[in-house]
Amino acid sequence: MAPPTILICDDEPTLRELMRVSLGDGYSFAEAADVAEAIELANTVHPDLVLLDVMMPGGTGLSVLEHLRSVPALQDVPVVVISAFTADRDHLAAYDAGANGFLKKPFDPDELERVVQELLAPAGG
Amino acid sequence: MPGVFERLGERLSRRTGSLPLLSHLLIGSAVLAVLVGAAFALALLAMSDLRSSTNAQAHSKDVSRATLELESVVNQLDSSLRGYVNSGNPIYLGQWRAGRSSLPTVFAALNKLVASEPVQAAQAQKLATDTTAYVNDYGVPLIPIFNVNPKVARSSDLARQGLYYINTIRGDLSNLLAGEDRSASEREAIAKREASRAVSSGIAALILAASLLLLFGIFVAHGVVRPVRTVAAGASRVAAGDLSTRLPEQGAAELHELTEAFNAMARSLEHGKRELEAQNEQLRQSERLKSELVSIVSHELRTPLSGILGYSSLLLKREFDEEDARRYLEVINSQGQRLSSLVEEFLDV
Repeated sequence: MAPPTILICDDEPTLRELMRVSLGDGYSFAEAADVAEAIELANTVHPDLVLLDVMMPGGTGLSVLEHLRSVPALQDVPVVVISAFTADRDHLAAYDAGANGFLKKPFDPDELERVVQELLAPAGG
Repeated sequence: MPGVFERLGERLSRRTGSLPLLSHLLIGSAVLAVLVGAAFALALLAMSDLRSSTNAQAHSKDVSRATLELESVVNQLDSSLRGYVNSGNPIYLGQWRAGRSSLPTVFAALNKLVASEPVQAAQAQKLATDTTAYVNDYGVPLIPIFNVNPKVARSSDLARQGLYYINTIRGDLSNLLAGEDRSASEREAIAKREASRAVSSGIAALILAASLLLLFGIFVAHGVVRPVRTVAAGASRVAAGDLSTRLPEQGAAELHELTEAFNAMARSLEHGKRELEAQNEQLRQSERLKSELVSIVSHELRTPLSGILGYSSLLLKREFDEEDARRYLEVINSQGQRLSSLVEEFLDV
């Protein structure tokens, strides 16, 4: 059985690597550094989960989220927004746009791992 | 009718617009006081004339009474003298003497009453002369004639002579009474005319005063009440928030000052409100910029902090080969350097 594919969208390479290392070897990863790349990879890779930064070149991560929710094949993909904008209004904006989880930067690697595992766990399991 | 009063009031207000309101009220009150005073003075004059007329009538009655009393005495003299000559009864002689003795008193009373009236005084004087002539030239000589020769005393010649005297006296009495009646009528007519004129003048003054009072009321209503209501309505609009409210600056001096002060107040309030709104907008903008700045600073700081805390946490909790561990430490170091630079930049700002 192929490992779940996680699309990591963040303009900071070190943070993309940190997410990758935090989640370990049980996943295959696709990485995007800007909004256009994120949308393109989502359309082509069809990830099982998306980790999405908010502030990226070419727009905001929320526009990527809105795209995912508008495409039938991608609208059920779990999305975890990971943002350095941590006010309540940013939190609410992410959930309003259809996010399944929200982590504040700096995030705890173990918490990221736990959230991802929960979202990818089979229903009822 | 209200329309007529309204136009009249506006015209009055316009004509007297430049004078102070206090002057309007004082002038109006003074004119009214003078007119009401004049009306009362004319009414008093009319009453005085009526009293004079009444006094004149009473005086005429007194003169008539004195004249009739004199006529009565003359009749008594005539009848008692003729009674004595015809009958020889001494009772008549007593009546004759009583009549004679009362003459001075009766004449004195009559003269006193007519002393101030030259015509009547002359008539009274003639009456006294004729009566004295009757008594002294006819009556007094007739009694001794009767005592000596009653037949001669009863002769028709002497009787005609007596009748002549008596008729002359009666003529005098009639003249005096008629003259007094005429004089009394003239006095009464004059008094009535004056009283009527005074009453007419009083009524005219009262009507004029009432009309002026009405005009004064209309003026007060238009010159004071209406402008005050306008100001009150303007104040209500300002209180309700309409600071653009302005009132026409017109009317009497005090009202002009009031509307000017009101407009100045409204302008000041409107200006103050605009300044406050501008300051509020500046504050809101400043707050928004501050919030955005804090958000950006927070984001910029949290990105390297995420690397430092994330990799250090992984190094502390998990096992890595030496090469990876060293690379993660380098990442931590470089993110620390980046964080330090950012902090310094922010502090410089």
